[in-house]
Amino acid sequence: MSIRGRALITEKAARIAIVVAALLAQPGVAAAADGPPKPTGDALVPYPPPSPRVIPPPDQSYTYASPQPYPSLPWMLLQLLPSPELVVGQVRETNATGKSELTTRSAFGLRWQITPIVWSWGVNRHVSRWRFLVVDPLARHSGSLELPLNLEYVFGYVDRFLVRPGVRAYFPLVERGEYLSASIGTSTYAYDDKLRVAYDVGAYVLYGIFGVQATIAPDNGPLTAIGTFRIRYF
Amino acid sequence: MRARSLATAALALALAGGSLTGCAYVRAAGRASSSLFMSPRKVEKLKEPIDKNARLAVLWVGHATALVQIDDKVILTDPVFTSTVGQLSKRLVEPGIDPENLPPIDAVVISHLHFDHLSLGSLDMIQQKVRMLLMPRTGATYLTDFGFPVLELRPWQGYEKDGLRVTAVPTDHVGFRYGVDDAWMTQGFTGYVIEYHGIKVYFGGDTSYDQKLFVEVGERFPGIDVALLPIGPTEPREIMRQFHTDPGEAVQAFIDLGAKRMVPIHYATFVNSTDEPGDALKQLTAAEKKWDLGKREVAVVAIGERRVFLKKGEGPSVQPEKAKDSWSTTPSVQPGKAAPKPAAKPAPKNDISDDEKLD
Repeated sequence: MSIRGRALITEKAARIAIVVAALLAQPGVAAAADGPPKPTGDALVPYPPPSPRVIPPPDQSYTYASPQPYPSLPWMLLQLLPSPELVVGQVRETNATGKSELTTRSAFGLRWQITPIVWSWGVNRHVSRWRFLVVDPLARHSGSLELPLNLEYVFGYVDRFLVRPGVRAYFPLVERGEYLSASIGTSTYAYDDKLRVAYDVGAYVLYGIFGVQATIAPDNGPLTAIGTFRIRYF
Repeated sequence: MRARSLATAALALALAGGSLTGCAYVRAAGRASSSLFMSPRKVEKLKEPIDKNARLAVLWVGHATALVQIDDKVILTDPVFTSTVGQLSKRLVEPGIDPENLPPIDAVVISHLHFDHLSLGSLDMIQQKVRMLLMPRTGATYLTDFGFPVLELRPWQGYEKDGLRVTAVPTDHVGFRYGVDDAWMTQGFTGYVIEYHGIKVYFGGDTSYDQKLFVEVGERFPGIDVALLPIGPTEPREIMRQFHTDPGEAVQAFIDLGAKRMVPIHYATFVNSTDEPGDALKQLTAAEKKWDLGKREVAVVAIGERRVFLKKGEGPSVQPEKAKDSWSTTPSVQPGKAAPKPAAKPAPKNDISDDEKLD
């Protein structure tokens, strides 16, 4: 190799050495050679945190959630459960001698209830007072006004289906009504092509699952009194 | 005598029914019903529940009800003083304090909405003494109106007043009260971390075991002084596992939280499962033996007993705090979010087979 050739190689090697030296002088590259980059300035908060530290204020956007009850499958199945009832009334019958007389009769019946609307004055002020169709026991038994719709079938001498809309108020007695509550109400229904009125009182335990209701219809002889063992959940 | 006969008859009927059907729910309901005929065991009750020489004290009232004193602040967890819960399950042991002997309570915390945790009758008994009621999301749905203010807290949301900070922390439980409402009442459960003067108390309420949750709480609140952790009900395990930590899982949660002391709660007060009242404590003792807890302490407190964990002069130093905006001051202690590493799990003392592991 000529002298000129050797000089060129030496010059090339020197340039490469300068470039490598310049690259190594870059802070990131140098650090990379020693491991992960070290934090500089305030880029990373060191652990443990500096003391004393300032505590951020708590999030004070307090709100109240209002879950919307809806007819779930278990709820629907529970609504199919009827409440048994005993109906006592007087019917006019013709005896063997041809005379017409009033006879006291009794019959067994079944009652289903649905509640399209409830307005509860017992629930917490931060919660909606309205319930539609699905009514939680506390909303009903802590004090409420409801528009119920009773569907009932009475066997025996009555042997018919009755549709009984009405209005009823519930009052809490023990444990905000969950342990014991009472109700008064009125309802109307058609019987023998006449519109009849009935009045009812009731008492309920175990968040309203079980209760007794007495329904009186003074102007309707065949359905004068109804005693219902009310079974209801929601 | 007559009551005992009735109880025996009810128990026999329940057992027969439960055995015939093989249904744990039936057996539990039978046992709860038979408890209606039993008289609760009497306990010695303190008339002065506050110890002026204590910085941190816990008085176990029974079940999930505990009176926590941190310096001059008083917190009551899941207050239940009634003789029954849910009208069917009767108290086996009297409450550890009479409600009339309670001091003014700075915060009552409700973990969830079940009858053994949210007792409306009990809140009626103490409402004159309550300054604030804290509930999980959707909690007010089943509260009705009382004479005290109420706040619903979202997970990790806090309430603070005069330096007392209560933060809702996530747990793994259920949010319904009546059963049918499980379709829409899905958020109503939480735990809490209570902080005051640098002292931290964790209240787990009712939860199943979820390591991730406990570790995260431990990370955000390092150095919890006392963890109130439920250890029951335990049986039938295949059902309870979904909702409740058993004693072994509670000890593991205690370790995950990185807490210094654990006070077991939620056992031996009401009948709400098929396990016997003494079962949970036996399992807790066994679980303690499996783990080298080191300096950690499992403090079993009797119903009605007040245990002082920190006396005056012990624990974090206290600097006078401004009445307002205490969070914007520079406190002497460091409550709130931090960024620590998870607490290291101690190694088991003995070799434990995979089957025996608590998870």
